[in-house]
Amino acid sequence: MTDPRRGQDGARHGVLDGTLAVLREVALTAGAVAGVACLALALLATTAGVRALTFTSGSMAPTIRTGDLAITRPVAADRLAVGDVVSVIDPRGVRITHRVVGIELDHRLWLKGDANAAADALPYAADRVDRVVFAVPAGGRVLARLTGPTGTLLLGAYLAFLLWVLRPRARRAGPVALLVVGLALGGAPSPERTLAAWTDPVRLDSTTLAASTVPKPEITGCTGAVGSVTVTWSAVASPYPFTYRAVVTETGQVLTVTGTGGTRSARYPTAQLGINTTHTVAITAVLPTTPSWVSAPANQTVRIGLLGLAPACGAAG
Amino acid sequence: MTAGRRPRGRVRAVLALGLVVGLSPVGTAASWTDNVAVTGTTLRSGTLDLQVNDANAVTTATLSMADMVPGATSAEVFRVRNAGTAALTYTITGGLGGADAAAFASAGALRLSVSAGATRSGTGNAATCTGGTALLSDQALTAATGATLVGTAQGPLAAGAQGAPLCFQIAFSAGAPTSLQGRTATATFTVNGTSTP
Repeated sequence: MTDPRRGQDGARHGVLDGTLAVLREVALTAGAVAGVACLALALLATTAGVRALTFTSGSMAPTIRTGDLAITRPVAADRLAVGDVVSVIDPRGVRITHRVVGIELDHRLWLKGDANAAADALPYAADRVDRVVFAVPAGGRVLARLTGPTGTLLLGAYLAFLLWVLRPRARRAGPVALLVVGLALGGAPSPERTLAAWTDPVRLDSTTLAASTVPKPEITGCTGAVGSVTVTWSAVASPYPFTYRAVVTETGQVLTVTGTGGTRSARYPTAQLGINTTHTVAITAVLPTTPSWVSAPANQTVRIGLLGLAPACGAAG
Repeated sequence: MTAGRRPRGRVRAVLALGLVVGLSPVGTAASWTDNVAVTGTTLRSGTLDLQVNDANAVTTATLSMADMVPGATSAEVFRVRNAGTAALTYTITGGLGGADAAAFASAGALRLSVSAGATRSGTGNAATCTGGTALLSDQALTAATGATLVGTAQGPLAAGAQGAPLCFQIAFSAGAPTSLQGRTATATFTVNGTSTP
């Protein structure tokens, strides 16, 4: 099996042959390591759901930067902990990879990019999510290059080199190579792009909402006459048009309120009432549009006297 | 040529084929059509900067109401702008804080409406939003300031783009119970910008 010309060629091109041989060794060894890694990833992708993700934005910086490659594996949502970095598909169908900052009881996840000031606007619901196992700095950038136009050219050249190394010499190498090529075609993992989406919240602050207290009317006068009492009060100061209600607390009798503007009054006819009893006239301000909104009552006591013929005013408050 | 040297190189070459095939756009596209291939991906960083009224935080008293009675409303128009270099969408969250937040929330007495492209009409405690497209209609505010109000992503706003003005209207429900007299709550809203792919 010796070639008689080999010794002469070796002597003539010894240095060049040596350099080429080293390059060939390096190319083959590095390629084999990377190829095994690719095949291992392909195997893990099909059996364990392992994924390679390229980061296309920087909201997870400095942990994971734009262009990094992350390797993920699926984990049940209930086995996650705060602090894990997970990759989910958001409602728009976009892959988001952020850190878990909170977990709801129903396992919905609150996520936040490390470089973001605030968590993502809405929690994500998922039974299983891809958890980042480790990240390779700039790995995604390298992969993007390799799969771009220049990379395709380089890979083509490398493929030619491999085919030259594998040029048919023994019959059994062909089927083996085809088998490997077939396996790799079926299971090669393609890195998926993931968006580590930025968030930027703007707060709208200092809106104070204070409900009104309906002011209590102030009783300004009470006059007893033969057979009746007239209670007078001043209208409350308010931008709203309040109306007033005058009710005899003991009997529930509603009195007619008269007057407009600043002074209102109600007349309480006492002529047919009993002997020596005391009644209370309660005045409240009422919001016409929502009649349940009433003020605290202003009370005026009235002593009815004999047969209500000579009623007299008591204390007001 | 000896029989022992070449096969070692051939094994490595066969393994190295895995690399070529794994990275080949044809191979990946053919077998992983459900994935997004990174072929020709441009990786570029940008900035995300959502601004409301040309600021990153807005302190406003226009929506505030003092001395409100059932039926009172306040309104304010905000300008939303993408001041960054990346496109964004936004959602709105918010709710009530302060000592009496729970009282207002349980009565459902403070209600928010948000409309895009609307204008403010009226003044004081009778200001309202007029016209536009409703993004949120008469939603009761809860005592959680992080509650989702407009959960559907609005936009996208391209870099530098000005969005339709947002008119916020707060109404003190006409059916508010009298027990809320004299009570006070604060309302806080957040417009959350999120970058889009």
